[in-house]
Amino acid sequence: MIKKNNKGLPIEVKYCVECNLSNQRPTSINEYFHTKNSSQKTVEFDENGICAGCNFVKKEFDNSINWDDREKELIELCNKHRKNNGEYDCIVPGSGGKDSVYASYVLKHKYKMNPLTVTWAPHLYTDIGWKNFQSWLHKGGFDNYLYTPNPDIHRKIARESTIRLFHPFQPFILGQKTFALKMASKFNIPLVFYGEMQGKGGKKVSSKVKTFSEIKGQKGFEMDPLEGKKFEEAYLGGKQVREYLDEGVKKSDLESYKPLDIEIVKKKNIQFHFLGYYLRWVPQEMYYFAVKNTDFNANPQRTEGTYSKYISLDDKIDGFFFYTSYIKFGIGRAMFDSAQEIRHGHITKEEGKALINKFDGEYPQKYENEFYDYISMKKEEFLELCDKFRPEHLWEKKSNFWKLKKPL
Amino acid sequence: MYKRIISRLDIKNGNLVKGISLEGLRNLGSPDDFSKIYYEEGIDEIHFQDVVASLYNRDVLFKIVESNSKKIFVNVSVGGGIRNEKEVDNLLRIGVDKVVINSAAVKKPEFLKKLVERYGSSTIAVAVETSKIREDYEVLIETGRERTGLNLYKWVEKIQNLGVGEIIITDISREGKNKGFDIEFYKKLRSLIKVQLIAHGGAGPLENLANLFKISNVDGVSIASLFHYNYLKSNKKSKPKASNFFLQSLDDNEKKGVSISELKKYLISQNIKVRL
Repeated sequence: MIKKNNKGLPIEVKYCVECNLSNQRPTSINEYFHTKNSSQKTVEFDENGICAGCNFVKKEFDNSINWDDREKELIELCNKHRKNNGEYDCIVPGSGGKDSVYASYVLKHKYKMNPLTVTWAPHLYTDIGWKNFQSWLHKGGFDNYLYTPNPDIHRKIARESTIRLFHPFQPFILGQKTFALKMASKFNIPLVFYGEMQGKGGKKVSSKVKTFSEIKGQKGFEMDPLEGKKFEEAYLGGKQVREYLDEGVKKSDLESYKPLDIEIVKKKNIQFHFLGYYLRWVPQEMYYFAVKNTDFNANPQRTEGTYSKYISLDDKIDGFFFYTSYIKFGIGRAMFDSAQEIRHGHITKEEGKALINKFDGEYPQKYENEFYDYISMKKEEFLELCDKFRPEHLWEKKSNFWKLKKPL
Repeated sequence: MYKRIISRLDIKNGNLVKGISLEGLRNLGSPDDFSKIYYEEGIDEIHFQDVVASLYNRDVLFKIVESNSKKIFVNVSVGGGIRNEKEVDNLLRIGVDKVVINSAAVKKPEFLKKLVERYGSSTIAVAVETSKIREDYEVLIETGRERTGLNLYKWVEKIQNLGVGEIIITDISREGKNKGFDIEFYKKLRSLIKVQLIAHGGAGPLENLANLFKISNVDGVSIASLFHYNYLKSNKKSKPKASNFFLQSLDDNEKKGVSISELKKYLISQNIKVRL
């Protein structure tokens, strides 16, 4: 039995022998019931010390999956849903980043579907994110609904989620999960495509799972995030919806976060498919695809906290998502990026380690003023929260500096 | 004077790599295989660039260059992470003709001056990676990952005054896209640079390459993916592996590239003086 702290994190820190990923990596949590007392599940390591993410990616390349058969399955699925009367026949949620470019583009231009792309807006668009978003639609030729939840409420929830969960990015994640389903219902398009399979991030799921509804007993990306309860009982930013209402927030102002009723999902038979189940997903190749087909541009300089220039560029809050992850789990952005690149053979374990040592935990300075302004917080308050959320088993203070007790 | 066609080999931990905008590096294989072909096809010069010098043991690149300099009898230049005179000595000793400095020059311009005084202008080149940020071209370092705040045109003037013999300008946003060079941009640089000017980042349509010589009047062009992908066409690996997955996914209409002799013949047909 692995000894864990009250948040579900293993007390003994281990790193994957292949990709350097820490065993503190949370795999997923149902954000609608994420409170300060929640316990998280973490990535599993096998008896050889290899993480579930590595084992998952290996299966994609060791002939255990017949990709020709998988593509045939996709073609059958498309044939079943394709409409030739001008109506949309599938929904592709996305941001205009490399993955959604690929998903929407192949569905439309290769498999001759008529996708409606839908976008749940970032908290604060970056210039490059907005340009890539526009370029996606202009060069790829897509219809798109961009939905921006009431930013005044959105930032209030971001503030709550920072104070209560140290998770400023949570409001985005809430909508990312539920928004596409609501659009599917509104337009009566029962087929929704997501990109990469969840297993690639380290979540323990079989590579044979192609839809959300098949993932049982896994919290997170599921069809019924309310788990049969009322919306008033759910949490936004770690604070119960009922509390917001008691404080005078209007019910209508929280409507954006209310998931689609599971009965409607069932009645309309809305299905959520991972395109990564049908088509082999190599994130770096999606970058090449997006550059070629929709004029996607990498950032001029590397993203703070990591070495990469093309991953997750569109939200000014993003840097703080990874910085808080570094505080809570000891996992920074360079570790996430390099682990994925090691699994796909682009870099070696040693290069990954050097990159992690160089960049992990770098403070995201570039948009700090906008971030603090957004969540109405002073930097000093945020730094105090950092210390409050540092787990004891991960951090120690030496000559006035916080250090990881067991760095890679 | 003959215009020079230079093959650029980006090296990472012993592998030939190639990205877009110096990012998303694909592993293409052994640099030895590529340099051999390029030499046999009549390249004028080969530039080995270590793209992650600060993360790896430098011996790896050194060994590649050493073994290559015994087999390749054209000019060889080497860059990436060179920070002291001892490293320059070592490279020149194994037959390197020219060393290329980038980050170290930005951090310590006097280092550049010292090198020029000791080894002479023709041995010292400076690589400049640049990107247009808002309205101005800015100098970046660490393989195009870190901004410096330096204005490109001022920086070019400064290094020229320090006496370097050659300036290689990489246009990061176009690099690896095969869409062609910004002719006006290099024309403007030409008007400022009296020493050898090499364009890098974006080689693509042949007509654009001809204009780069005719209109921008650069002294040479540094080419990577255009040659690499041409060579890869005939070298498809059969076993799918994540790192070379793209080789399987390249379908016929995605194949691109041009051979060195095709390019040279075309340029000659356009009255541009190159060595066949």
